[in-house]
Amino acid sequence: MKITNRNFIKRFKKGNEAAFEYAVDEYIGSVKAVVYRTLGSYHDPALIQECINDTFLGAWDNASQFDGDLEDFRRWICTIAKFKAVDKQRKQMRLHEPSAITDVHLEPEQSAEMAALSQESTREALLLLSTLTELDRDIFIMKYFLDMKNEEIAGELGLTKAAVDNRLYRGKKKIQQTQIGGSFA
Amino acid sequence: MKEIYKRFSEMKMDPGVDRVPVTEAEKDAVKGLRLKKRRTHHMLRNSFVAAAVLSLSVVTFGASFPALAAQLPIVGTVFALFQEGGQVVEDFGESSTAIGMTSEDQDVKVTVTDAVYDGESVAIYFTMESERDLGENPILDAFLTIDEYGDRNYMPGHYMIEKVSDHKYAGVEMVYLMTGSKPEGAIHVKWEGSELKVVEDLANPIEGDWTFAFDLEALEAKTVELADLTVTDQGMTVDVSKMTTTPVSNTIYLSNTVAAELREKWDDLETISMNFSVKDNLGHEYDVLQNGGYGDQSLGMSWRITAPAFDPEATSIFITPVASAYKQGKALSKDGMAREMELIEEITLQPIEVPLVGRTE
Repeated sequence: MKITNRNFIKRFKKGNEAAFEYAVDEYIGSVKAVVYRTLGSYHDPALIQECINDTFLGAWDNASQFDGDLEDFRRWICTIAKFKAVDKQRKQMRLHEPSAITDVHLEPEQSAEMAALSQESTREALLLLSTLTELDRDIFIMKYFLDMKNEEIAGELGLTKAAVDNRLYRGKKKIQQTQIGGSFA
Repeated sequence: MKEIYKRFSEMKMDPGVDRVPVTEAEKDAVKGLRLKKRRTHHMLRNSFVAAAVLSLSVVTFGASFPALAAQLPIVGTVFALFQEGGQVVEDFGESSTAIGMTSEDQDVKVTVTDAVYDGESVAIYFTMESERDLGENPILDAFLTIDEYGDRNYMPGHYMIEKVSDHKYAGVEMVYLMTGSKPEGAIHVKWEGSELKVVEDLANPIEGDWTFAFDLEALEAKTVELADLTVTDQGMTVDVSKMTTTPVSNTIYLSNTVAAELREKWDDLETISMNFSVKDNLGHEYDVLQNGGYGDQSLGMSWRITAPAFDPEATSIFITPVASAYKQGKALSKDGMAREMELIEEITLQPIEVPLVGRTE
């Protein structure tokens, strides 16, 4: 059966291969734009392609988590693209740190988000996320996983920047109080 | 972590970007990835499966369906019967749960006859009937989910199907619960078939809906943690860490690590495949089903194998690991998707003796 904009989402969520190709045709332009905005300065086409790949596979593997219409889908996959790009950017930065990998890893091959999770600050973030209100959780997701500026978060959520600053500040304090340490700088 | 994808969906954030031009090559790279991923899921036969290394699928094994089926410890006898009598065997013994559910779509009738959960893997036995021409080995593209098992965990699998009469096939799908903690007791299984591929006509898959949901009770299993079972040979180290025994199967956990000097020697290494053979102290050899592995190819991986129940008189088994190092070759694979792998070196390690004392207690 041919994939059209009417049956695309249903079929994508069911794991239909043609729907995957349709998603690539329809959304790769937007995904690339998002990725490029974060990673363009590395002048590394392979890195960008890898990030685009990760984005589509991330969407594919988590298709059941999506709910919405075609425009929602575009927003969703672009948010995933941003998430993956931020993660790649952090890894690029880490590559230049002088710590050699010497220990043997016997854990499952890490996906982008699991790699992020293994970073101490992300663990804290997740710990926090589970205890926060929905609003605070969104603020932290945008701040940490999507690398958005406080102004942008405020604009997205219809809050003042001061309110975002304040909520982030309280969140950090909460971590310190629970003796986890670290920061979300 | 899947929650974050859900949250991303709920946030509905405007990315604030315009599309940028994309070449066909870039699109194809992403689409090709999906193809390779699928093949990693379904087509890897008889040897290693690595979670994230998609290029692995270019190593061809050429195992035919019956040959592979005969190697399956749990289903071996069943498939032997398939081939002899052309009849679908109803009696799988007391180890399996009779399901008997049928789902029909697109003039193809799929019946799940039986299923087994041995605490480490799920096997689903099914038949397929149709007046349509489905070729010799139609592939039912179905996703298996287990409510009690987190969907971030890694589940590689095997799929086999045989034509048993003009319009009837018998098959089995096995899925291995590789990572994370395995549910005990009853599990809720959902098996959702969405596409049927006729191998002889891959370009025209039959889309449909063949969905099954049922409960399975885990077989009685006993797990033994094993310590100090390690062999190091020519820079390769293999460790046996755990064995789970049920009335019909033994699942053995192993890992390998690669010494730095080997990594230097194999500087163009693409992948390392590990194979394990198993025999007991009485000289019986056992068929081994490779469940796959995960980890970092060049540093070390965790592996799992399944063997049938061991001879009750045996007091130990010997596991012989064989490591094969591959580099990317120059020739394209048959389907033109990727490069063929070329063997650099093969290392057969000393056998590891695993005592079986106390297993019948």
